Amino acid sequence: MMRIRSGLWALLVAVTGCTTEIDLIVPGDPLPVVYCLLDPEDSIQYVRVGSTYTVNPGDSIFKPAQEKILIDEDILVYLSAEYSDRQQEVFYASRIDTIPKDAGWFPSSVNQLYAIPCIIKPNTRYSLYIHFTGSKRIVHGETVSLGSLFTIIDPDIVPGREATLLPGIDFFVRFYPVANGSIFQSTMTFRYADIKAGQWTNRSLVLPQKFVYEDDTTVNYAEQRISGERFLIDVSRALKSDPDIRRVPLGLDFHISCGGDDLALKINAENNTQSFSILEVNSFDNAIGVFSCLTHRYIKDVPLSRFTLDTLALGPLTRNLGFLTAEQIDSLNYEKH
Amino acid sequence: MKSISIRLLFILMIGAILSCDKIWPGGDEPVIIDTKPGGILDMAFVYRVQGIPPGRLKKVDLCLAYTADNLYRGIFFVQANVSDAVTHYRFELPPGDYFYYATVICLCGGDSCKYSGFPGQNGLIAAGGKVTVEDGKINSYTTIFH
Repeated sequence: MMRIRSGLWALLVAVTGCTTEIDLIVPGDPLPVVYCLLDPEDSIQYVRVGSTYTVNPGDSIFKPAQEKILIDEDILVYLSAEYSDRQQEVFYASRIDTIPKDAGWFPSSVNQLYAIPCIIKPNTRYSLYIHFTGSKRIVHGETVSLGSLFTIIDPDIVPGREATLLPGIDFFVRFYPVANGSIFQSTMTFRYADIKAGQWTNRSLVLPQKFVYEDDTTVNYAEQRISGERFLIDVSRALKSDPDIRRVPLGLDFHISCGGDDLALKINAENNTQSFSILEVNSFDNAIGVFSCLTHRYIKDVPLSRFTLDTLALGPLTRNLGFLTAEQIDSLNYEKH
Repeated sequence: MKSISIRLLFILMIGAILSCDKIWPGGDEPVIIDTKPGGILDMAFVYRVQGIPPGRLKKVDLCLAYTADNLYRGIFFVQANVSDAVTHYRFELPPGDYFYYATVICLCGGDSCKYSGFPGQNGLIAAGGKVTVEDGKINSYTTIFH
């Protein structure tokens, strides 16, 4: 009798166990997504707000609808500056639609973007609040602004000074360290002209460099090395050879950015994330995203040395690309003037 | 037959031991022997010019020529990326004599540059000289501006 009862139980478990489907992924409540990078050089700060959405596994072409990535209730966005224990100042945001969204994967009709008129003071604690008035939720994040202005040492525009990028000779971008700003990145743009049938067309090759982390403010300067050999390899790979095209290098432009400690933490965590990790570095309670600082510097028209011009024209990596030698460029400029 | 298999096992063991434990003659790390002769030229690019405010006197270039004739004709074989934040510049070179050429520029307005020996605003003064690179050595020199 006992044996028959056990058998029935086992049968029941087996039957129900086989028919029960367990969903590994179920749609959850959407979370707010908030991005705000305070710029000490700007008098207006911007906050972008959105919402997470669920993607079915394996559906790589899923594109969310516009309403899925926006917050569908009234929100109040404000920034609080804490100058001391007793002195605070609050700046309220207003929604704007003056900045068009970049083209990309997400629906392009509108961004949920807020502008806060506020000049960021150095080394000050800022709190960002997003108050969901309908559901009575508050998203809150804190960051400390950059401790000083971001000052570039090199490249420096000095009459007669030129940049040399050759195998064995690297170029260095140098800057003073910034308190509370520990991540840096420079992007070098190589500008050149294509000459085809006497027609000049200006072109550029953008070469973003790796991130530099430097949180030691006692060093004299921090630097980013730009490999001369890598530059020539990148040029040789990016430009196409055309017997009808002659090319004239015009110079280098640099865009150098400095990000706050919270941005460094976020980028560092994302770069080091292991597969299947559920760890997420967030600047906010009740939301995902980043709240930190970001500032930029632009150095334009850094001339290239004659060594670099001749290496582009005659070096083994780039000699098939039609670059003119320094002497040929001198003759061309002489004819033009 | 048994003795052959023991011998084979012994040979395999020795092979395994030798293949797993590589000992390099130079210590723990492999030694790269560079047969190309050469030394390091360490140029300290410094200048002491009176009467120019800080930040208005900048380095322009530091180049090397093979001969004095090339130096005067401006035919150089290498040019460093100079920086006002960096004093020392190093070049790996075959042993021999070389000639350096270094220039600084005065960016002051008014007559400050002239009073300090420059031709005027955006005027250059140059330093040059002979340096010798000895094999396997760091050969240190300092620019001399007159």
